[in-house]
Amino acid sequence: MSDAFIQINNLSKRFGGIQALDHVSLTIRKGKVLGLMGENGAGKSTLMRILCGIQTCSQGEIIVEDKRADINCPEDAQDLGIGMIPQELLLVNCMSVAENMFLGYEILDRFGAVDAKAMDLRTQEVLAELGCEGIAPSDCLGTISKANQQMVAIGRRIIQGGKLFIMDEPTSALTVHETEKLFGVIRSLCNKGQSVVFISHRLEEVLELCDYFAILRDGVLVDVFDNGDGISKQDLIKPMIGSVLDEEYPHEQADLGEVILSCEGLSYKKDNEEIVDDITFSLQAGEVVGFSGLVGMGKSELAQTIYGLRPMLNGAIKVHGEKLKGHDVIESSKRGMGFVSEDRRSEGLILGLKCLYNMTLTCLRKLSIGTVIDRKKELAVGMKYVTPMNMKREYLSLPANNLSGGNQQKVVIARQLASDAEIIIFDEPTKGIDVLAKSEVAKIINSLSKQNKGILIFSSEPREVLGLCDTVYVLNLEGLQGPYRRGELDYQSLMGIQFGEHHE
Amino acid sequence: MKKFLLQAWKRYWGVLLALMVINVLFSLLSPYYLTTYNFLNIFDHSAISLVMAVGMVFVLGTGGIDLSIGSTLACSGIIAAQLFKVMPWPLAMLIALAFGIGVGLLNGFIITQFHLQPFIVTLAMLNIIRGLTLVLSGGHPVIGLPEGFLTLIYGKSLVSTSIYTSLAIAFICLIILWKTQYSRAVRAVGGCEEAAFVCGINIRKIKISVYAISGATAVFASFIYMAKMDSAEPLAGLTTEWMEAIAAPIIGGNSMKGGKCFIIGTIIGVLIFSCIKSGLNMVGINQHFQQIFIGGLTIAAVIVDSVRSSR
Repeated sequence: MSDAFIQINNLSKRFGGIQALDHVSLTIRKGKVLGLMGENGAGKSTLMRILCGIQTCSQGEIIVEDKRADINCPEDAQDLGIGMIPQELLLVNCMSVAENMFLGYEILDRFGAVDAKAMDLRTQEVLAELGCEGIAPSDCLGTISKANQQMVAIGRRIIQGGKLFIMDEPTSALTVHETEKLFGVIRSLCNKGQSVVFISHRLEEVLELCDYFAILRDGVLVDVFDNGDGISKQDLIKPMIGSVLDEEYPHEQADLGEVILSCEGLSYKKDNEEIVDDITFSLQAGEVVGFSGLVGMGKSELAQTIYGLRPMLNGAIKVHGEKLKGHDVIESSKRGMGFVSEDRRSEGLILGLKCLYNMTLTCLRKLSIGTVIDRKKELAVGMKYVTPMNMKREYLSLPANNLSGGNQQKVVIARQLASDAEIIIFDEPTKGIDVLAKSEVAKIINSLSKQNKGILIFSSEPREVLGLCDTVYVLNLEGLQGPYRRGELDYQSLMGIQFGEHHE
Repeated sequence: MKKFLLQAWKRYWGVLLALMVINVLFSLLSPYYLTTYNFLNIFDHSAISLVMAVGMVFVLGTGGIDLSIGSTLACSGIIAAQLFKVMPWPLAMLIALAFGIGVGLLNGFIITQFHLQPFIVTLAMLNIIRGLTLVLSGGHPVIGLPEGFLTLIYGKSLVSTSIYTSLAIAFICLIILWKTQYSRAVRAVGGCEEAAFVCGINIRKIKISVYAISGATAVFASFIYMAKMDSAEPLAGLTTEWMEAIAAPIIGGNSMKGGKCFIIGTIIGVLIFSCIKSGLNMVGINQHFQQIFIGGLTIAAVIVDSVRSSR
């Protein structure tokens, strides 16, 4: 008996002119966690979508438990026990937890009617197994936290009797504690002989969790090796990008100027209706200020409050020492603030629109004579940002939807630059983008500070905040901690403060 | 049972309250409002809208809309009435029903095949079917309906059978939505189409089927309409009936965005419309003004829906 659950032979896939997968051969082993690595656009998702029947391959074969399998639709994959938990969870927000768990595979009683009671019971069992006591089967999915939604998505696969669990960035919305819990669940799945494919950009995590790695680059499988003591982050990064990355977060100190933004005694409501108050800090020209904190401490909400997307309960925001006249987006953008949202796909970009048009969205008035847009000027604006951001010229005329996450992020940043914002607020600037793009975004942020812009970064990646920022604040249960200067904190002490310890 | 009632109360207290306020108001304004006779009348008037509204619940559940039901009502009536003259009436009814389902299937096919907006497709279908109705009838009503048909649909007693017929259809839909896998699929398609797809739900089939259901219920509504009028009218379903069939489910907690299927709320929504119409009649406000009222109420319903879903 072999330990292979799935054997993929010579799989290829073309989209139009792009070779998304090029003769990939890979073994997925029983009872092990595979870390599938690669930059965005390397073909990870395509490969997994083919296994799940969401896409079909152009060429090659898939052998499941020694039998050739034809996977043409999600049902085929389901019958083979292959299930994916995608990054966008794909659950129905307006239905209950139990309804989501059994969607498409409801338990029926002998009259052929759905047996709600039995499903509620089974849901309860599975939630207990996953260690989610806080939610009930009848809860509406849209009202529970992202982490719990993630658990529901996993529970769904367990209920359907999966043999292979494919998880795409499952930890991006989870806290450290929840991540640990998820790892526990994954390990117990493996102990039962089930296989897991784990996709994540967080290298520390995959080093901790995965048994072996497969690395894709430009649709080609470049390396497969076991995890072990000698394996370091560089061992993963090198084959992914084809070279060694000298520094994840290059940093150069810019000259600090006058205070351009200050918040005094700001208070606001978090998503869970709790109130955070007494937020006081200031930002100088050329300074990069970072806000760190665990998920649920209200980082994103603070970013939104400062930009005027969320009501301010109390306090004052001053730009150049002068109080904002109102508290809304129109006023803050008029006063030189720009906002790069955490969720670029739904809040940042107009996906169907050309990248160029996305870039110039906020500065159209400058480019127009009357109401007629000067196309030449517009193109010039686009061209101005393409080279420094290391983007290709052709991207400008493509719809934003066709770009990888990293390039999409660059488009959003370029838009803020085009509108001459001098205070730029980044909410999770590198969420879900690959290592190389991360480092590029870091370089861009750095160069912005050298152009005398003030930068606010809200991030749940401690390394990012430590690597990029001149000044760090931490949001924990007790409120805003800091400021801490660059070099004053290291990874461990920052994590400590996040969990509520006091810094010496 | 207690749990069920509690849940229903939690969901519907708002519309129930509105219904009560309307009734109290008109009772005070007119001495003839709060009478058995008037209420039988209100239920009788509700029957047509109710039957169409419960069909619409399925369409709204998938996030779609069906504007063509008013025309389907008229056309299937004309077809049935003309066929009554040449064949046994049950067979003619079946053919009319098949026609309604056919229109729904066609709607669903065009919408899913070419990925079009249900609004524009069914709007166009509204015109096509209305035109077909006028062609078939020459613009004249068809009179002389068979006795058996009239007895089956409308009855002869004081409490007309149409009330039972409509409630029976609503009840069947309630059971379908409450107890079947199908209803979960409908709500999933409306709630998040991509999620439904990965859950192995055949989105196309579900979408086509809901328009077929709405076409079928439009035919049942047509039967009630004909029996009531004792004739088939080419201009039936032109006024507020089909508007109510869309607005009543929204008032009853269903959403234009899809993902929800509430029949009880829909029944309450239909009653709200009927009570208001009856009340306005009683206090002597003429029919033309009523139409303005119904339109205004529809906008109010959609505003409530939008406020509700943005919370």
